[in-house]
Amino acid sequence: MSRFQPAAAPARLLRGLGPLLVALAVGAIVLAASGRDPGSVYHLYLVQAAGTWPRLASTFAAATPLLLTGVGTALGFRAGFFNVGLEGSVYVGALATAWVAAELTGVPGAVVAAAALLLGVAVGAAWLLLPALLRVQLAIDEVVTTLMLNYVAIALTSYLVLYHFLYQTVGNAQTPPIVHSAQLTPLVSGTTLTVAGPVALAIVLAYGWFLRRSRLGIEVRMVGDNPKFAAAVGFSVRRSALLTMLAGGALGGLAGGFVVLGVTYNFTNGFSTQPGFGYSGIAVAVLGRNSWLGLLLAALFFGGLSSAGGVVQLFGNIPIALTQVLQGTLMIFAGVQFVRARRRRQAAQRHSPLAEEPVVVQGSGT
Amino acid sequence: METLLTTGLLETTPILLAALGGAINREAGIVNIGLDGMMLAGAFIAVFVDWQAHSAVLGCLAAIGAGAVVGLLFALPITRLGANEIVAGLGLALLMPGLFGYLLPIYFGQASTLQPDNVAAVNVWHIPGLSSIPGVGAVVFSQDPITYVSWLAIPLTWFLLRRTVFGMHLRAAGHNPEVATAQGLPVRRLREASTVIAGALSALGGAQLALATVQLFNKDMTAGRGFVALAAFYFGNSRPALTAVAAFIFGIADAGSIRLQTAGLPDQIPEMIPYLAVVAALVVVALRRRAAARSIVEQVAPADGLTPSA
Repeated sequence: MSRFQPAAAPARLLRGLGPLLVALAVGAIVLAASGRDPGSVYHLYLVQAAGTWPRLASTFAAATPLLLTGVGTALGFRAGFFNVGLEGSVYVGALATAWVAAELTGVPGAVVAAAALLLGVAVGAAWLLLPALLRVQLAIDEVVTTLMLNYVAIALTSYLVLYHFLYQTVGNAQTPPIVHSAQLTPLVSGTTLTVAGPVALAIVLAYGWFLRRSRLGIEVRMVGDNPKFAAAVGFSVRRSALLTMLAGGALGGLAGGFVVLGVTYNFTNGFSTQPGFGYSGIAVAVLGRNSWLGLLLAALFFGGLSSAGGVVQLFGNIPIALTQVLQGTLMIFAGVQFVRARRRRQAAQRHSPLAEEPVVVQGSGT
Repeated sequence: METLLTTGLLETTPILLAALGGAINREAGIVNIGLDGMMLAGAFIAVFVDWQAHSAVLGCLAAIGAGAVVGLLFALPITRLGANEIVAGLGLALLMPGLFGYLLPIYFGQASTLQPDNVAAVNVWHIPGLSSIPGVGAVVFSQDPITYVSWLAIPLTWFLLRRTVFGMHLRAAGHNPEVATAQGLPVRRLREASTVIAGALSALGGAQLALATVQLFNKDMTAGRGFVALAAFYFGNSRPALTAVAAFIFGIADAGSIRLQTAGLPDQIPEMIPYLAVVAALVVVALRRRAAARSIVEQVAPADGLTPSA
């Protein structure tokens, strides 16, 4: 599946179940091989992720940044652009947010928070301007440029924190704490579920509306489905590329900003912990098959894994790295279609007119 | 200066091996983003088998074998089930540290590091004669055997891709799968074979990382070298010599950043070099390609104002 093709929403959601089952099966094998009972471990995960309202709120809180990066990545996928650069946007956006929220004083907290998020969003979008322009102007494969820029973002923010914005080095280097009034208050006490959660929910709904109902969204979808046809009928492939990649970067910046304002209250090097909010967003987008409902369910699934992971490690003696095993396996099998092999072959023959050299090559030799 | 070269060459080896594997893989039509995970698997198996068998050679051979198996397992969902190679590659790079992060506490009681007492090191071989050349001779020809293997792998990769029937088939599978299929070539199996090679080479790189200077395994020890390797073969446009040059530059940059770090200076700047270099290289290639396309258009249709679509 070089570019994820459309299907009716329910069918698409069902196809997401295949990889999920494979991942759970691999996880079960790993658990059983290490002398754990997979059934009771998964049960413990379920209870800890969704057993009570506060646990569910924690899961929703953990899902929030993934929802944003998932939507941001899915936008690109839907238009046929393989933007895997949201991890970088998360980092630069978070640092920009932390900087404003720590330095801006003498104004109401809400203004600080809004200004900080705004800059985070802008910086996050700006981070992907270069790969977007290289893509539309020179047909340079966005997969490689966006992936490489992730590492640049991590090194760059680390440098800026250490040499220009250091507050203290306890464990990883950190920026100063943001002003207290700019902290987002938890909606459910004892959790990190803040206003970011409802905002992310609204954004995923808006994403669904955008693709189905708006003229621009339909253009994006047509470009993604059949770029040659879309170009022939006068839709702009360039506009879709710029729009979806920059919007993706903006959402990455927003995700990072919300984490700073609502969870960490500063920027800490390496805060986007393994596997990283941006990378998890890719998993969310592929598992959710780019549909708004799928994205929501996938984000909640990964959010549940991470919110329950710590408790399961403590009480079940299950290393938290199991989450990574499940997520990694899921990503390996994410694009797999267990049925409809014929459509896959058709997809293999479809290339974007922007791509002179289709780097994402379909592995089907028949 | 000599120590920078020494460290640089040492740092180059895992990047170079993985990059050559990635280049072969890409020539056959799969962009392998999972090199880092394959390298990590090799590092672990090398330490584990070396420790159990008290033999560095067996450790390295086991790593190669394990890398080949990981390569095959990684290739199958892509070639047979239509998994997306980019997402799958990121998944593999994520899965491997996760797997070891899970297994180490359970089986070895360690959070992230496996450092048994009696692991045999991969020792330096001073090449007689050459290593006594004044100046750089002592540095260049006093390396571990895996490093020599990585140097030999440069011409061998070229030979494989350009001068053997198998290599020709690999490239056909990558560059023109439709024609290759029409010719009756087993495209999927060729791609799987190339991924097996990439896995084996990356894992050997991981073995060097784990056994040459230190004799331990850490679940984060690849530190993104697989992605630097990706940058190297992209920079080298999958050509072995150019890929090797890139790997060497990145290895030196790596060594430089280690020295800056020790000196308390910002090591993040050289850390960015591989990633920025590959973006710059892609721009240069694209500009050249566009210039070439334009000159063809001008020759064919000089006056009609047609420009090739970018």
